[in-house]
Amino acid sequence: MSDSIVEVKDVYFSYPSGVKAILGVTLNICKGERVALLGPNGSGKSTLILLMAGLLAPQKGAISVFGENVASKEFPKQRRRIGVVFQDPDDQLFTQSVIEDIEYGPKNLGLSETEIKQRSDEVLKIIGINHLKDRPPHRLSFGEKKKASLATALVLKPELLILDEPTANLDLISRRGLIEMLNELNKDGATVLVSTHDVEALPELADKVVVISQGSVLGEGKTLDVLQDMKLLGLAGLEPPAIVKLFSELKTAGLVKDMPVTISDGVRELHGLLKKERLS
Amino acid sequence: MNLPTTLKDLLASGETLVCIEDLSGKKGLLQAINPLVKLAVTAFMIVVSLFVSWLPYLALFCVVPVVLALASKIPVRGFLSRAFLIPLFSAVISIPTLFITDGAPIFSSNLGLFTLSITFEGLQKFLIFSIRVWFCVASLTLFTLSTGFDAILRLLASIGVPTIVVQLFSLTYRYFFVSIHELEKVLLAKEARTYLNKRTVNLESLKRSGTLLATLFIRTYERSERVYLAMKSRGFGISFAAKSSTPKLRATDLLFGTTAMFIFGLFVIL
Repeated sequence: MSDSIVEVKDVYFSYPSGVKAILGVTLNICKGERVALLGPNGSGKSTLILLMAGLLAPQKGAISVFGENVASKEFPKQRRRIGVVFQDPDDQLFTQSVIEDIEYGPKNLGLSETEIKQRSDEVLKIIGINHLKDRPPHRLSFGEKKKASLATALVLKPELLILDEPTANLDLISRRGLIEMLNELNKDGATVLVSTHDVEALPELADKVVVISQGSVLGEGKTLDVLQDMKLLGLAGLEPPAIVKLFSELKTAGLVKDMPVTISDGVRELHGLLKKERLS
Repeated sequence: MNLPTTLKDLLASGETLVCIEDLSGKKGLLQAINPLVKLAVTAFMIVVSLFVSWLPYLALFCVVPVVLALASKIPVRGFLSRAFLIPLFSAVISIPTLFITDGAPIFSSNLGLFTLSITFEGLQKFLIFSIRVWFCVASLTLFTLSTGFDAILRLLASIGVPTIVVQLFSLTYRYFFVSIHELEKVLLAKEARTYLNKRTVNLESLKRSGTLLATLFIRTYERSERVYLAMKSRGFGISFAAKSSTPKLRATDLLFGTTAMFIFGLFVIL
């Protein structure tokens, strides 16, 4: 595909401990897409993300990002186009204050002081953490740390934003805010890749889902199709969203034809059903 | 939390660091001074104290840290307790100077085989040494209490300490809190499954403690790997991070610096 920005071809990766994390994965991510790697804990999502960010090198197969092989010596230059947000914000925030962490990447890029300040101010405002900028990371709540972590990646103005379990351990309001923020970034042209096992958040988080289990890709497709595919989800050891489970029961009982995956679609469907019931 | 005393102390040290950070954030005299000026004045004060050997002057020196602590809204009792530990130790090891220095005896005691005498010169030497140590420790304590660790790191970078050393200090400080938190979680998990109140030290309990520490080390190692990847993803190793800068010097910093150095300089001249 011509507008492919991430190409993973038959990649294998094992950790020094002998754990085989990735076994022959092939996938493509195109520019502007919102893609989710869906799989249970230990399925290899985080490893695949590190490989795609060029932070680990595959032992077999090839990964190219923005047309550059991640194993090549030239690849680090491409990192400025990639923002990575780790699952645990304590891994991401390693300096003495939020602002210092936000400025770490731009300083390494060699940007001017003026531009660093401009970018930092902008990202602090977008994420709404201006009041936290001088606070040390150990004084922040988990949600605040997550936001600060995201800021450290966004300040690089990445074309590809990679997030490992972005919604994990977040309360519902923070989760909603984060999803909205990611969608805004996507509208502005960024390609967003997330790893998650949060099936409830998926419809709002991604357009395309790649299901991974035990280091292999079990299937991929549009989010709505994947979430309705009970067999595929079952194979991966996952459960569909609660709304799909409900409508699956209703469908089996012959009450509905479709299986919505979002609450709003479900409400619409139920509304129609109740209306029909009342008329009859 | 029902934890062993030593571990409780370790967890408490984390709290102490947080408390120190709070002090450096207060709006006091020393907090408002540029860290570079503060460091220069502290170093100057320490050097001057080495040249002054007249006891009344040295006694006057001791008042300075206390006055500065008060002006900087640093609780004096806490400050003094922090500044007394090392001088106490040095005072103990300098006790023999009381007896081995030649001079006029001011106190003698016959111990049978020999006579133990404290000389005036010995007492003077002992006091000068102890006061100097206390003054040096108190000055440095005051500097660290009134300067945030973040500012100290920036200061180190700006005075030419190698970036890698500053980064190591920074990471150590940052992950000290994370490790303490990690240790707390491990201990709580252990405590939640400990049903006997009786605490005995035997081979089994030692084995369990060893396993607990090993778990903590493994977690720390794994985290260090992840932190390295996080740093790498933001350009670590591609180029050097721009040097951090300390705040610019203002008129008040210069006024404080010159006044302090003038006053302490007078002690040397006089």
